[in-house]
Amino acid sequence: MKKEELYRRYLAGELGGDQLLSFEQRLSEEVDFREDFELYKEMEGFVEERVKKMDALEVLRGVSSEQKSRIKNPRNNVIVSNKLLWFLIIPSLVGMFVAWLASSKMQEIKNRELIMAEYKYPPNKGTRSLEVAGTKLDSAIHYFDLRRMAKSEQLFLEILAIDSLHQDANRYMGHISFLKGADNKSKYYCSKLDRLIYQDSILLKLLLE
Amino acid sequence: MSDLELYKGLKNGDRNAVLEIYSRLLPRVKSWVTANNGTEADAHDLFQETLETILLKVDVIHSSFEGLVIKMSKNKWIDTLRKQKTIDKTKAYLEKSESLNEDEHLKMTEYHKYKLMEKYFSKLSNTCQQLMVLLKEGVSVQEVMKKLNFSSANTMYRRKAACIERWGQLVKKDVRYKELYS
Repeated sequence: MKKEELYRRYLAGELGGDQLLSFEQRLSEEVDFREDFELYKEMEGFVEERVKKMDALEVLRGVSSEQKSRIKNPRNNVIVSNKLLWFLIIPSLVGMFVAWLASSKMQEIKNRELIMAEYKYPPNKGTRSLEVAGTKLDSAIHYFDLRRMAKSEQLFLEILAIDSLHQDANRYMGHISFLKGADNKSKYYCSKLDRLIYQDSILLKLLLE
Repeated sequence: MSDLELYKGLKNGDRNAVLEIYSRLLPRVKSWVTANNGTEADAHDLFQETLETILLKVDVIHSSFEGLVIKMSKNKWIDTLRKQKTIDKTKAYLEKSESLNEDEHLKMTEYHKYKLMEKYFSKLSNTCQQLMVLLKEGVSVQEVMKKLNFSSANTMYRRKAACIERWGQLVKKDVRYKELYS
């Protein structure tokens, strides 16, 4: 018979005679038997208490759990608020950046339109191409006058490869770059020009002022 | 609700009384615990533990219920701090009059024993749990046998003994067992 069954029968008063004497003897002599008996009574007591108080305990634990979730909620709300704030801030910042970019671009376009309104091509020199006769410079200017910019640029670059301070080549390259929309490149070529010679150049004024 | 009504409400599982206990007393415990090295969650757990101890282990109150809840909560917190060795960093240390008295200590120990039992009782099979509860509720042996499909009373009692044996083994394996039962 299991110890637990013995304990139950002893507590229920179902042991008698030799069984009872033997049980009580073990209880007084065997430490483990005695400790287990104490634990058994504790377990029986637990079940009894649980039966009596389970309903009240469930109510208390229910309320406790509701209250505890309220502790967490303010923190969650803060987290939610922070998230919401970022959801508002980030699109606003992106929006502002896009607006700034658009505005800068608009200003750039406006400035260029103003420059273009005043811009004048250099006067036609009436030069001739290499095929007919003349120098590489004549030919380059000839193509510029015909607005064949790619061919003209190629020849001016060849001239500048030999003489990087070539005034006419730099002047025309300034124009070509400007007409291509490469203002910085245009400024670079114009910066090599002798201001005294080209002081009346409209492009110089527009770009360098 | 009066002090006594709150106590009785807690014991009888009156939800309104429990809600009132929470709204009236938890803020006091919370402010004290948070002022003494604890968090709101610590205060909540401590408060709940105190109420469960009173519900399960305190059958008669000699002073006011509110006073008992506050005192037990504070003392329990001091006890916790002492175990964590952080007591010297808190104001609680100065309140020498506050500490668990013998009776409170006993109640707390009994409560912890209850929690230990509960922890492993819940790990038993549903049949084991129901069997023990039904028998303790005074349901007749015949009815229990029928409800849980036992062929005889002998089988049923043998099963109950096996359930209790298993439960006891689990409890004894827990590190808190020796601390609580020595």
